[in-house]
Amino acid sequence: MTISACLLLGSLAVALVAPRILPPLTRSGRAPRLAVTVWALSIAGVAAAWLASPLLLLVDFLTPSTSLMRECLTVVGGALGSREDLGAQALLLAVAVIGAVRVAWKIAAGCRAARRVARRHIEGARIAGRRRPGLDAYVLDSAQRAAYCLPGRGRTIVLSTATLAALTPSQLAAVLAHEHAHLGGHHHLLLRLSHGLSSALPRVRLFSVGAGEIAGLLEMCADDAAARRHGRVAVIGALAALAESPAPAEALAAGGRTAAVRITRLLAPQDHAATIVVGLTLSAAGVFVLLGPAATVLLAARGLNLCPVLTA
Amino acid sequence: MRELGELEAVVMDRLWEWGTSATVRDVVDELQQHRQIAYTTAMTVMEHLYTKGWLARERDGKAWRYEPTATRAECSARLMREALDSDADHAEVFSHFLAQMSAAESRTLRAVLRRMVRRNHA
Repeated sequence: MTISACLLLGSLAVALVAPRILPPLTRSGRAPRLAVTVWALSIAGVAAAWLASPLLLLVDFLTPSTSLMRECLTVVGGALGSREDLGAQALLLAVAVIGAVRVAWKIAAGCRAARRVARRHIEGARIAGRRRPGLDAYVLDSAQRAAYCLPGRGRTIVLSTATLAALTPSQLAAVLAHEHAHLGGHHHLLLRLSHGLSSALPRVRLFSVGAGEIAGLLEMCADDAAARRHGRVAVIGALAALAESPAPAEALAAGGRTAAVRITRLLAPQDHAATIVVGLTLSAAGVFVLLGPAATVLLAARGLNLCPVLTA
Repeated sequence: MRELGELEAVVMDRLWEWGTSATVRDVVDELQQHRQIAYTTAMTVMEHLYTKGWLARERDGKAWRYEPTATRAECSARLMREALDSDADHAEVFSHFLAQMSAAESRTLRAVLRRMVRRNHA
């Protein structure tokens, strides 16, 4: 098999397998940074392979050796007539180009729209919000509790007056540390990419499940950062205080599940053995995703035919 | 650029406080009591605010009279609605400390918390 075919088939394998084996490992929130890394590598690797698929297919078609693609297409072409395999190749290439361009365009458009919304909202918060001495955030006058950040060049944190009234000073510090962890870690880049892929290709479970898992895990990473600086009690207290204020009935709320996992995780005693086991398993998965393509390229370059069926 | 942004906030703050329409001259006279600001700067800022929809204006002889298009409370409410609107396409722009939950989820969560706190104290 050529390198291209291997990379494409390998990406297909990751896309099918990862959303089945990763969630049980990552959902508990042990080793969240490692979990995010493995999800990100899987998603980015598959997306990169698929966006590069036109190029990979072209290389595959032009390679003089036997390839899985050519075998399949020759069978199809044989049924249609001798010159038809060229037409089938061109068709496949065209489909790949259109698909790749469409996905890339959707993601870019999504990022542009998100930047526009963020910029407008930050301007709004800057004008309608007030500053308090010693607080690096904009405060909006509202009876509804809210604490959020807007990432990107604005790097803005917004709190409502109701939030300030509900939190003790240490809880407030924990909330700010949590938001700063998001801003400092540039989590929004990963969130926008995974969300963009999930909406461009919603039926690919790797992207849809991955986007949700990554979002939850990044919250846990930020929780850990806040807990390291201000203690777990402050973070739990802040979560509990802000959980007092439910959303209006129409709001689509999946927040409850994530909040429960976050609080349970922070309250649970440290189980180092379990964390190590999960960490090692995730590392193995990560190594597989990362080195799989590299090993493929290496083996193919050394002329090792990976599929004995095609040596005929 | 950042100074202009800060000036926008100051100008809106004054107009909201006054509650009536004002000319650029009114605003400049007020602001010059606390800072150095040129008439043209204030005029530019207020024109920007008008273009961006924060201010409405009508002719008063040779000058424009500006007034806010909404109260500060209305603007705050709109911003909060936008941030909490989890249905929207751009929901991932806002990174909430605690995501939205329904009243039922809130009750369940508080029950979970009470149980866990009791267990921890036991």
